[in-house]
Amino acid sequence: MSSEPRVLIVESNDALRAMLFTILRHQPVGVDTAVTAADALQKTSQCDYALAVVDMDMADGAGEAFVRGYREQRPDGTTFILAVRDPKNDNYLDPDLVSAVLNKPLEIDMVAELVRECAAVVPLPEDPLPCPPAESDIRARMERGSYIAN
Amino acid sequence: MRPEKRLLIVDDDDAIRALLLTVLRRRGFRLDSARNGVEAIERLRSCRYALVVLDLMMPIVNGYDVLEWLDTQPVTERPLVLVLTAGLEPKRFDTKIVVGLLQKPFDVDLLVDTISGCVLVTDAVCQPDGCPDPANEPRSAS
Repeated sequence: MSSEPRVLIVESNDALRAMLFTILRHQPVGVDTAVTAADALQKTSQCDYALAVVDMDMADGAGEAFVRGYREQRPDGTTFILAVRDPKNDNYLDPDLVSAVLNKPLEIDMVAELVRECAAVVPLPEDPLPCPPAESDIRARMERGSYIAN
Repeated sequence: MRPEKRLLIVDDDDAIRALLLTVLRRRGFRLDSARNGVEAIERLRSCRYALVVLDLMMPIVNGYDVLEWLDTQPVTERPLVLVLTAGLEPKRFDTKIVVGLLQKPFDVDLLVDTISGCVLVTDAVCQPDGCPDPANEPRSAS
């Protein structure tokens, strides 16, 4: 199991998700992605994430559904929730659910640095879940030609 | 030592402190950090700050205690204070000390702009002997 902190991107927009994944996979973190709140909650049930980047502008309040669902699923979870949103969307965000807010359009190098620095200091639970391999690791191995699915 | 406008970040949450240090360092600020009120007061005793970003709910000595300590200091040597609040704490602030409140979860752009604006109106000062240079906080600090 990799010792790198794990980061989850919760983003329904394909372009934004691909962009965030590309930025973050070059940082010293393992990166996973989720398209919906249900998908994201399934990931958080399998792995302790140091940080989650969550788009609060997703349709049907999926961003809020995820952060609420996560808090119910893991009341003592330590994941640092970094919300991203359009600055015109100034809906109230519960400080018990969200740690900080970044406005769109995202400043790429700042997102990379923030995720790297914050994920590195978030404490893992004493008995962390045995995470499956990160998407970023699988992608890297596929690019090197050494990944055999089993 | 040249005059400078140094900031002190006080928060017990390692990730929040890392976030604040990262975004403010990118804006070119000189920064120190403290993980609780005890460390904050130690820093405030040894260095002079243009502005303090202060979390309230901290172990050992909390943000209210830091504000009380600042109240005992000469007015000319007090930094501006920006309080980070979750919105649930009692708001008994001396407006001569606390320049503003920022509600968590804070908007990073708004926070940086607010700090930049506040720092603009402060004077650069020379640090006293014994004030260490700002250093990047090691990630392993806990």
